[in-house]
Amino acid sequence: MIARLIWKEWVEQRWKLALCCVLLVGFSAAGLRARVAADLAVCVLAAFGGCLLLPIFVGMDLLASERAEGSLISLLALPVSSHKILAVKLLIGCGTIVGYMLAACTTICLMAGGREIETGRIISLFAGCTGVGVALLIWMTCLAVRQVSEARCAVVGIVVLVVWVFTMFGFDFLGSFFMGGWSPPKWLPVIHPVALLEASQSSWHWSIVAVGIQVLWVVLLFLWAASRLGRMEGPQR
Amino acid sequence: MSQYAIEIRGLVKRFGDKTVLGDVTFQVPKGKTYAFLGRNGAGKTTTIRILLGLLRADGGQVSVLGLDPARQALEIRRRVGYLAEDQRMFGWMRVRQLLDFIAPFYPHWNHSLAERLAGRLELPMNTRVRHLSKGHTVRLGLLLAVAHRPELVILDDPTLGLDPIMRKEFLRDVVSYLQSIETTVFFSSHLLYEIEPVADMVGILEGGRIVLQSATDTLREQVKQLVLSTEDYRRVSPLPRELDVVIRGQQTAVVVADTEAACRAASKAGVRPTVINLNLDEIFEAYVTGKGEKTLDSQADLERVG
Repeated sequence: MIARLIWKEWVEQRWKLALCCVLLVGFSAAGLRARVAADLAVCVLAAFGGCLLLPIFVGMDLLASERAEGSLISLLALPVSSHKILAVKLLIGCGTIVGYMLAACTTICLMAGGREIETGRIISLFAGCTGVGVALLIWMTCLAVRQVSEARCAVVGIVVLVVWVFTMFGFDFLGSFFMGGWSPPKWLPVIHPVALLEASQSSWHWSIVAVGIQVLWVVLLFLWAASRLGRMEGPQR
Repeated sequence: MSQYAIEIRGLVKRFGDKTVLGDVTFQVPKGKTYAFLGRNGAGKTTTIRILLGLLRADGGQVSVLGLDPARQALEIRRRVGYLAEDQRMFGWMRVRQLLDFIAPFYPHWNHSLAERLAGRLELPMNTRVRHLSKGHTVRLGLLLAVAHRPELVILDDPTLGLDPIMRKEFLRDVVSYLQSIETTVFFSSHLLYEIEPVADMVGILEGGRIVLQSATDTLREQVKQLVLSTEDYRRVSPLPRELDVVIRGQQTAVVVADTEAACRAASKAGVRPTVINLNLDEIFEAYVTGKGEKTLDSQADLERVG
């Protein structure tokens, strides 16, 4: 049963994996080969593009397209729990992100590992970015579980990103300019997945705390979204 | 064990401030074909989604095959076949792929029955679902709804969008087939004339309530139109259990829910009305749009009524 759900999602989503791989690997290879910028710049652009932009592209139609097409009701009417349906969709979405990030990381390591940046640093940067990308996809999909169009899902993803950026830098900015030097608690950034980026560059203690908090967030969001998915409220035509 | 496949008591469902279902009560006996009638937007689909556990009821008791949809939705979906209104499936799959995809979800899926039905319904197995005609899509949905040998089949306006010939074929072939294997059929529709030949029971949903539940034959026996002169009507008015009154100049047509009682009341006053049998369509119209006296004066009105 789960295998059939995975098969369905894979067939529906595999073109995105191919497209994202072509985009990211192509960009990295071209950038590193042409050497118009420092390897670090190419590496950071590829990693950030892969973790902040492409997850929105991957996640925007995981549910919304089925809802718009009208096949979601057929899926939900099957004797399978909404938790499993959502879990499989997220699994394939996350797999897509891991897949293209792995392809880009491998390309960069093979072409420029140890040239200007150590291979270990490239891998840890991509590991952190993959975590952020996966978290973004899950947050976006869960928060947009009832959205009826891909565009609205993408907007939810962008809002999530903006909120993360604001909690990362906004409080500092507001505190120093408007609130007499008030500074936010040091743990504040940990509440959103961008902390994973920092975690990937710091000690393992910090990494465990950051990853643990993100896992907790993801589990809570997943349970909330799955229950909303299973109960279609409102006259859905 | 309950004699009912579906039992609903005092069902309430609200969407925000709007009460879609208010105190809905009805029962569907096992092995019967139940026509669930109502106008568009009456709440038929909402009721069906509550039966399948896809929507949560705000009040009342619901039981499907003795199970509670709020807590045992998956078990209900395993044992019930469901054909949704304007059902869309995964367009990129071929018909055979779709059958292979759906089968593992049902422990009692019968592959040979599915093959047989596919042949009988003339489904092109290698065609993508998105390329199927409307008629084939409905047939495919039906195959998916019955190939696991469900105890209860819920058909939510399944013939919507089909041409009249296809609708007739659908009812003749499908409902007759389901009746022949003694499956309970819960058939929602607003096209009453097509349900009439196959329904054992009828429930009419109007204004968020069941305004009528009855065996089809009993309903036809009890609900009739009485035609009498307007002067006579003024003398005997109101007749017992009037549903609809149309005054056409010198003549008045009254639809009553208890013909016997109405004729008795009329004859007491020395009036002998002409009794006209009604089809389900006209009965439904009397229940949902009647309950008032209408005076038709213009020629157009007279022609419209008939």
